[in-house]
Amino acid sequence: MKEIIKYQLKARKGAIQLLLAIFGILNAAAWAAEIQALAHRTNEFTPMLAFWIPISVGVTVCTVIVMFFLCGAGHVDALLYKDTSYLMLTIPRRGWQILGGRFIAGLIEFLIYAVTAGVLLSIHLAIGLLMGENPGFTNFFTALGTSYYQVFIVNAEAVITLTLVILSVYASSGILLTTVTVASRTLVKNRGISTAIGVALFVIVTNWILKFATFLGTTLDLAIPVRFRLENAGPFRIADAIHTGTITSKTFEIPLAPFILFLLLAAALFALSSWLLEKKVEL
Amino acid sequence: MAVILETYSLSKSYFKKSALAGIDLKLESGRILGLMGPNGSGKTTLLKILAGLLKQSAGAYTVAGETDSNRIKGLVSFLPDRNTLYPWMTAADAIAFYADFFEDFDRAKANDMLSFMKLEPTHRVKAMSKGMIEKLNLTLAFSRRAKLFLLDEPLGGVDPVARERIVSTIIKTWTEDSAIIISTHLVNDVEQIFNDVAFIDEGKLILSGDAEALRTERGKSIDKLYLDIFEDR
Repeated sequence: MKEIIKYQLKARKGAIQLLLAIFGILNAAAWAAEIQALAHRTNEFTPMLAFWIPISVGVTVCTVIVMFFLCGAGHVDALLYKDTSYLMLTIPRRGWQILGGRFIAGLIEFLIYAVTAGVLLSIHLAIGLLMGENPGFTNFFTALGTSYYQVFIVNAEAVITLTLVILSVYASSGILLTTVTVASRTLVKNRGISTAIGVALFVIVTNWILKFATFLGTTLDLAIPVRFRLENAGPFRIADAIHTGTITSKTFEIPLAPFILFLLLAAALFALSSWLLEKKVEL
Repeated sequence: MAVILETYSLSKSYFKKSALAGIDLKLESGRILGLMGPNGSGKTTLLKILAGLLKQSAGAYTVAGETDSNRIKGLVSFLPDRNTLYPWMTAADAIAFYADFFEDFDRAKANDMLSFMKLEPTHRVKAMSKGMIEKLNLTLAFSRRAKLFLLDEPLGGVDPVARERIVSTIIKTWTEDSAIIISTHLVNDVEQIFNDVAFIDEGKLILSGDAEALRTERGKSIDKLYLDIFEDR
């Protein structure tokens, strides 16, 4: 499987570099506008800021959301509809090895985008904190360091829990997308029709799963408490800014049953898509 | 001689349309079979089934006695009628890919063939001409010590010099313990290397046998025989 991961990442290298370059250029333009506003102490949402911040943040966030699904599905369409499919489907590897390798490579690719986006957006946050003239932030690095401290140290438990929840949604939605794409490809060879069937199946099956997940969540009393802490924020005054200092921590209950269901479904769908790829997909 | 390929009533149909109808073939080691027929006759369908890209609707086949489709992929070297290599790959990347995935791949032989084909390892697939890509794909396919080589229209769309080089490569890499199937309708260019021939039309095997015996029996070349059989189609 490691060879599949290696070549999938090599195949995606160009696209990854291009997207990271776009992220870098757009965010650098927005930082330049923010630094300019900071230097002039205008405290105004200048036209430069109004243009570059939504563009850079919007493109970065939207790309990460789109890639959440495409990477989760292991870019399976490239395995089914291109001439290069002949190469991948004539190697002596089992369906689960091919799809598993692409899934892991997709996860690595997604993490590259997500971590890069997180770093880039946190820089906006740090500059924003300086622009807001929050007391205690003497420079950019204090602001950035405090932000990271609040997220990764003070709220470490909540961050780990949420990361696991997001990964379970990533795995289940990605594998579902893979399954419906492979299933629709076994039914119809035409890419357009097959993709339409795949999207329709994805929406219908997702709806069923979510209905069942909601039912399980309300029926079974299994929940993980996730507590966001702001009481030790020190100079970090976001809570004050939002709620005039009245909220210092907040606990959410995340129902556990749906996420167990998602992971079980992901395993079953992975077995189904691997079988379909090996036994039913034709080129 | 060991039997490399045996097919038993191999059939493929798409709903009511039959693409392949009950093909029975037996190919022994050391033989080169010319699979001939007009466009749409079922040649590619047969090769794709043997390569594991299509599933037969009925019938069965064995390669070197093996029936498991995944293990058969490790015994069959398939050269399709199109470029299947990733555009980002260089010739060296493509060789590394084959070395990583096929246990029987001979990297030294691939490098030798690459220079015989006058291809640079640093050449990128997306910058190669059709003839260069064909030669690279042939290099990769023939650098395996496979039991069965399947070449789908290897001479289609390449210039006469490249064509000559491809035929020389097939002859050079021929071994006693493997078999080759070449599908083509450019019969004249390759008929001298065929030991066996099989004419296929509308998914049915209409004539097959030893190439030399057929030439003697019918008193004509395989090329002429092809024209006689298919001129009305």
